[in-house]
Amino acid sequence: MYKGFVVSPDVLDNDPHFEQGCTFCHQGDENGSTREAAHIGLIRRPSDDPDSCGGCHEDIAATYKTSLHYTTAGLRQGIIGRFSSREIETFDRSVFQQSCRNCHAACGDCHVKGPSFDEICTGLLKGHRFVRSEEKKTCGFCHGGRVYPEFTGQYGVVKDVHFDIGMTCMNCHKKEAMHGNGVSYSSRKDVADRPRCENCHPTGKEKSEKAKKAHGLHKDTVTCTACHSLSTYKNCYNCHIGKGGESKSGFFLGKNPRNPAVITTLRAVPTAKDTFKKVGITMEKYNDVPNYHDAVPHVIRKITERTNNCNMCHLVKMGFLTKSKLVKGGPKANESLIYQPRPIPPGN
Amino acid sequence: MKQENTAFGNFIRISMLQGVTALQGGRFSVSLCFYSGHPTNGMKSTHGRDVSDMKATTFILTITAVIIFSVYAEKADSTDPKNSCVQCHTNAKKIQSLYVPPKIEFKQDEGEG
Repeated sequence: MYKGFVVSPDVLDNDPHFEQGCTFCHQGDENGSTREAAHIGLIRRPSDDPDSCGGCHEDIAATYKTSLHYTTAGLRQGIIGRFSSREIETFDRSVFQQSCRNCHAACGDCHVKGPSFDEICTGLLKGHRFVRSEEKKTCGFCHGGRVYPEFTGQYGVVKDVHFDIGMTCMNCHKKEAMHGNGVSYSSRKDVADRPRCENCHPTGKEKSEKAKKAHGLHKDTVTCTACHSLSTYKNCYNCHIGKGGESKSGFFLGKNPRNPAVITTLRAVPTAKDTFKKVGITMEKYNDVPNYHDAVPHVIRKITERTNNCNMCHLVKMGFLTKSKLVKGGPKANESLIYQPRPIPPGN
Repeated sequence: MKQENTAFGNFIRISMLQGVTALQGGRFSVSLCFYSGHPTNGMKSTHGRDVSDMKATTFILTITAVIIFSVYAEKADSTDPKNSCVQCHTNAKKIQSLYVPPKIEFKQDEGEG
């Protein structure tokens, strides 16, 4: 949309970012008399190189280079478990930089102009103002496949209670996490200071005895989302096989693939074995990695069917993965996530 | 309005005033020359030159001054960040006329099930 390229005149006089002129960041030819001439040598996304912002924002630029939004290491980590060491080398050489890494977020993607996917972009956030955050157009654009629409209720199922009371992404996902802390993590699940429910809801301070008891019994063995996700959430199928993606609503409970001692909500993220066949990757360790990731669905509510009635899990086993529910033709590792809850002993 | 008392500034002012005086037959010479600090008697033939010669000289000086002023003004504009890229990028109609939408090709079976 053309409006995404229109700069608000009033921002030019009041923001120090514009003191050196447009070409200081964007290059190009400011004397060019046509669109084509003016855009010769143009750098559309100057902050693709964080050092371009680092002249003034030195500390942030330095840590941002290690952040997951910039390295996109999480995408790599999600798939390489299925590869042999030879295939990992091929992947890094022929796929990762050329394809996956295109989705990295530059500073400007969050602070100036909405992120781009292929050539699709929402344009300037606020007439080229440098904004602190504009979650709807930035977080919501990249994470709009699953988490953001879940959070805002755009799937029409339910809004996350946190969104309902006016919270936004940045209330939990702090700017320090966005900008990185200088550690090159391979997955968001490894980030030391990632958001935790307990930061705001410490156990032991519950108002009801029932909640206090439930939290005590399930501490370290069941995640918060396992009980407090109200509705189904998005699960992806058929991605990366050249036929387009398909998503289905679903709700799965099972063992955490990263820590089988913990029961959590799982999200189906199937990977077709021949996804990278073109570059000679056949996924030699395909059966080692399950098609379900431990996930935090953003459909949180205080009261759900499971918080209301313990038997929904312990007797009905609602939502728990079973062999019949597993992705057809998936890897054998999927079966390792199946968990059968035990009935509650009499008297408890 | 504060006037800078530089040699170039005085040259421009005097030239322009002389030009105005010449073109308008001296009707405003007193007030304008008072504004510039230029002595009004400088416009008269007290130096032994003919008034018509003086008018021609001042006219040429005026044109010269206007040209010099234009060149300086253009140069100032070209170094001002607000007067280059921004000429188009603050003009919604201009951007709309130049906008080329991206070509997006969807596969036939692409989309959510």
